[in-house]
Amino acid sequence: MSFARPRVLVRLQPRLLISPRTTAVRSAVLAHRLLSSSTRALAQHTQGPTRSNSPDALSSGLGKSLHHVPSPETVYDAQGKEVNPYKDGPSSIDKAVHLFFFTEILRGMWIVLENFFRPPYTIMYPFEKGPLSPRFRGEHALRRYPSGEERCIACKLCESICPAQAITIESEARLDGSRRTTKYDIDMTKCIYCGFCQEACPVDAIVETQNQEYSTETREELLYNKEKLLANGDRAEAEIAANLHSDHVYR
Amino acid sequence: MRTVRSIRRVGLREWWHQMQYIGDAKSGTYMGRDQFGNRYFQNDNPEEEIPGRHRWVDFAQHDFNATQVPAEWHSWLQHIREEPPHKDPVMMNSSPPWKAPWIENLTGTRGAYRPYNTVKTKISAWEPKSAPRA
Amino acid sequence: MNSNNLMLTIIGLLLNLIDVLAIILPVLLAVAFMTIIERKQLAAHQRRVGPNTVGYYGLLQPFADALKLILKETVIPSQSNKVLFYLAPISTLVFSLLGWGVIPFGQGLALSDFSLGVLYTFALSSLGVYGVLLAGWSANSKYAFLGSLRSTAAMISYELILSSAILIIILLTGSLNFTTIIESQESVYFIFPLLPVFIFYFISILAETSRTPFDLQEAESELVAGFFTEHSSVPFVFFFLGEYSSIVLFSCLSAIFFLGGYNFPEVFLNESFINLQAIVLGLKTCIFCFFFVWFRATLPRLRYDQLISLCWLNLLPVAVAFIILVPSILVAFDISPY
Repeated sequence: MSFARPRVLVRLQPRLLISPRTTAVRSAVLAHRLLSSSTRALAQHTQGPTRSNSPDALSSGLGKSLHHVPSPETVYDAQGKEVNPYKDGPSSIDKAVHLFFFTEILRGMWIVLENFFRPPYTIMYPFEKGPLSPRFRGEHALRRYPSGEERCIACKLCESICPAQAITIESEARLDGSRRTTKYDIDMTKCIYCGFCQEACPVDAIVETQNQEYSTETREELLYNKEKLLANGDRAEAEIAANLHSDHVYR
Repeated sequence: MRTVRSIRRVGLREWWHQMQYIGDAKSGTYMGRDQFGNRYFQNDNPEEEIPGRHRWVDFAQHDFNATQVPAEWHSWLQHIREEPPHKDPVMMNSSPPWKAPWIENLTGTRGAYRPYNTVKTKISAWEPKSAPRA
Repeated sequence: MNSNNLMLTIIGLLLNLIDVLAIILPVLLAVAFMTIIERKQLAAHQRRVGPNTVGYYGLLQPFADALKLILKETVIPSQSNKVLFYLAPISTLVFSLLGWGVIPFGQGLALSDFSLGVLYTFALSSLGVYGVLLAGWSANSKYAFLGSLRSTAAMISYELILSSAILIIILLTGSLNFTTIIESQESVYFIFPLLPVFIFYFISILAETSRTPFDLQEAESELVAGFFTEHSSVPFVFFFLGEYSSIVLFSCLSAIFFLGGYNFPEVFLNESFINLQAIVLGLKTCIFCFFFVWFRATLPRLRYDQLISLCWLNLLPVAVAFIILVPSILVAFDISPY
């Protein structure tokens, strides 16, 4: 606030100085600042909707000068004195000048022309890519411990939290007695990429990688099973681990 | 103007090569090359490249595909990691020995993934065993 | 002797045909590239790239578009008037191409440089309304009909402004011949003394070619595609070509009327080996084509009543005022050309 106030003052000062003597010449100097959009803001429209606003701005210019426009209702201030709401704005001559010399249209055209000479923002997709967050939720993967042992312990928390019920898990005890999944299917056509599965996972086994380019030609290829998910994790492990590392300070 | 500057920097032959692929003349510092031969470039000068277009890849294959970029470079190209993978200590340390080789998205080819069941079926068909006759 | 005469006639006809082809083929090529220029320029104004995959920098895009459109199925509404349905696009294209017949591309380089060239062009641009009208009527569709009604009313209204602007030029030059108009601009291009005239002239050609601030018959949000809603494939191509051809034609006309056509400061012209005049005219045409797209990139579409009231209440009085003012100046200073 304390920072904004001096700037507001500086911006208002020229208008405050000039407003007492709104001669046509003086305000014509200000022409580029007081175009009609800003005059609307300056004029104190306390009387509800604007009067004498012909339905279309284009025909209003000549119409105003040719036809008699009913004079606006007088506005009174708190002391009961008559106040001209247009006193501070530009005169009607200014408005006519702006209308007849297309100043607003020309300003708009200038902006468009300026942009013509600037480079485009387009990102050429397969070569250049837009920024992604390390938390981006893309294709799923099952991770392994650094020893190569798979992380998933078949607790089925992801299956139960999945709002789209895209995950199906079946588990059995392995020969060494540890509980592992025998079936870990994700129906990627059902998945809504909410990321609840990776939030729910106690061992960081199921993660959503930053890969978003796994579109397929058939729906069938999107019914991922455990082998596919593990293979995804094996391929992208370095990226997954780096992303988790960069995000670990916030968790 | 930008095009001419880039052409002057990379030379006509490279420009012709770029026109076949990215369709635009770009110049920047060479950041590295992955195991498939894709080359990666960067130009951090915002006067020369609009921010967001400052990292790009030059694919090795003619039939290029976004998934030909391996995961490590993918995270550099998508602006997730700041350093390219061979200079990024985190990325280098988090690469386990059992890491599988990167394969691109093989959909539409014979190598495409086909789902299969990983458990034994719960209902198995009855296989009649005929007792040997005497 | 007789057969010799016949041969001469045939050769003469063939030469004529070659003449016509020599104009129409470059014009159609220019029109094709006008479409790509428009798309690329709009993209640049909006800081996009635009079409860039077909050919280098998208240069072959118009041909890909044309091929696609030609290969598409021609759908004819069953309730339509078939003859008129086909006649409309053909007439649009033919009328806009016919206009090129009187354009002088260089000194004495016109297909026909006859003395009523300007009048001929006006007649053709008025006839262009018929294509729109027929298309809207014959398609038997509400959207096409409404679009054609809007377009027709706008075109007829703005024809008036256009003619008044040209009338001022005719008053200044005292001739309806394009070559004379160009020759009389050797000292100064008309755009400098007649800048206000040029402004309302340009507004009216924007409306006449139904370009963006005035493209009400194509108001996609209201009328699906305007008067050619029901036209597909080749008839659509004809409309498209006709529209862009008339844009290029009107750009060329404005170059002739206001920028001195093929005129160029003498210094550069004298030792020229190739025909610079045609290239100069082409460059000047390009300037106006750029203006067309620039306006399209900037201005929003007008409401329909605004469009008509702008014409009849604002532009027409100004135009009439100038029609009175300019001859008055000519008479007052005794500099009239006749």
